[in-house]
Amino acid sequence: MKCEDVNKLLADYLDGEATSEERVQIEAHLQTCGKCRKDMRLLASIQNGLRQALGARAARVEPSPQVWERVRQRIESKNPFWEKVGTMVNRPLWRVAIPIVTILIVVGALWGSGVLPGSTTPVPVEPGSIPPLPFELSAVPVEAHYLPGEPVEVKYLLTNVSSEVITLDPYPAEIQVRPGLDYDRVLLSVAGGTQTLEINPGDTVTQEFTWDQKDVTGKQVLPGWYSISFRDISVRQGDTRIGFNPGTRVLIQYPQGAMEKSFDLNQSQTANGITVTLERIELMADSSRFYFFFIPPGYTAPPTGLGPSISVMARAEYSVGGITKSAGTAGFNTEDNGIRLVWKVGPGKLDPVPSDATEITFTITQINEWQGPWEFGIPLE
Amino acid sequence: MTNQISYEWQSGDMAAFEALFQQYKRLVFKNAYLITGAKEDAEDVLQEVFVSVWGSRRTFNPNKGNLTTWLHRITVNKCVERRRKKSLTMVSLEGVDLSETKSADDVLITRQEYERLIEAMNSLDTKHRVVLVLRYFNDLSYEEIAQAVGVPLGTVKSRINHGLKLLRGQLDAQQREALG
Repeated sequence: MKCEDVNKLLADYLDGEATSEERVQIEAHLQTCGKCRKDMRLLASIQNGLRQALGARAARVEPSPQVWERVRQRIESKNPFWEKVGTMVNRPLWRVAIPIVTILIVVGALWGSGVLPGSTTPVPVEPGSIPPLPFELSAVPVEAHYLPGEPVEVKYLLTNVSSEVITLDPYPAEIQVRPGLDYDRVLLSVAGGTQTLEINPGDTVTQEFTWDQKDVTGKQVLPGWYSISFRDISVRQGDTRIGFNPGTRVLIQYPQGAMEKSFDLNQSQTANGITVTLERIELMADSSRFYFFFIPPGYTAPPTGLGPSISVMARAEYSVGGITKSAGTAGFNTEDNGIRLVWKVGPGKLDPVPSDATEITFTITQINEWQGPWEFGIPLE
Repeated sequence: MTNQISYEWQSGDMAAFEALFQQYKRLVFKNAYLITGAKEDAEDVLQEVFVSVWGSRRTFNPNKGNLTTWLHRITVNKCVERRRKKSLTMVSLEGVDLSETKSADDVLITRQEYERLIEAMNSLDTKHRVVLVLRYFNDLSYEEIAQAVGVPLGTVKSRINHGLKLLRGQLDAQQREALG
């Protein structure tokens, strides 16, 4: 891969959106190219700064309490007569008071207009300047929690919302199950088909999958987050072809429950001359979070804000009850006197910790070019 | 498995619709604010989004799509319509004091960095702002953004990539200016 190719994929890579093959190629290139490493750090610092700036900005504003009243008035002024009656029919008093004949008329009107279940209405596309896709695709559930052994039912639905036929290829799609933050490890793969399916306007195609929570060897997987994805679905209309990998995130819960506690700590470890301090851990029902602080050699706070030097790529893993898992890469913040690292922010979450756990070991394996390990044993009493 | 949303509003129950509004008003408002850059516009967009949701409530099928994605999509479209009607609004930093906003989750960029990033964001066009807000404020995956915006996945990737490069260019320009 050349610098130009890597440069185009750096945002995907940092956002966890690059394919396994791309990740391998990018990482191989970064090992040997200082310029691309520098570009990556700068890009990471912009992404991180943007997350914080947008969050801080949004935290400052709230909608005024009068907005609902304005919405209600606009709706009331727009509603045709039968819709107002339809609204009233949902209130118990009116259900009794309105003569049955009137209700039948209203029900007839609602049926014809697609309000009631069983009636069909093509899905109109919200007007706007962004060109709509000819289809709607969703994977459900987006995120859900299960107990061990409980069947995990997922599916994707693809509806043709255009006025022309679209072609789906292949059908059914290959399905892959992976650990939440270990994108390269496929625990189970179910082969797809080779069929090509034509979908008429208004029609919906579904592919369902029930995962028995077992890996390819037939063993029940451990509690934690998993991603289930339908691979390389391709939709074609005319000369345009669009590829998707719709997926869902599921949490297999600990049967004994998760520990919900926070600990303020002040543990330091030194490796390769770099001292890293574990400040705090937060254990929650559906995830856990770890906060660290360190001062890189020669660190001074960037004098003019975001500069090319403030970027951190830190990787870690953690162990509970003898099971080691990847923690992925950290989010970071620059401060006047050093850098704070946080595992894990973003859509991917660290697994929760079981309620009967007695210790966690969290190991930072790498911070930029500095190799660890910085290993922290954290008693949970 | 948890199913937390009632869909009675779809059959015309105004009380259920108000509950839906109360549940999602902040999400819609804050996204609209970050995309349009002005509180007044964000309040107008919030109104328009929920009037539009009510008007097309019978077309939303919870089995076919995610409610949040649908709301994002309508919000984005309303913001785009609005920004098209007006020229770009430069945003003041009124009332912003980062010292009050620090929390365990949201820690510590300097006010100077904040101002420079917000200024750089304001220089972007709407289509780039939209994908950056959906990605870095909402933490949506690229695929979720593609569904919310209604563009192919490849377009999302190129807009995010290009948007970040534009931000970098703006920050570099600001830095050169600052250094005289």
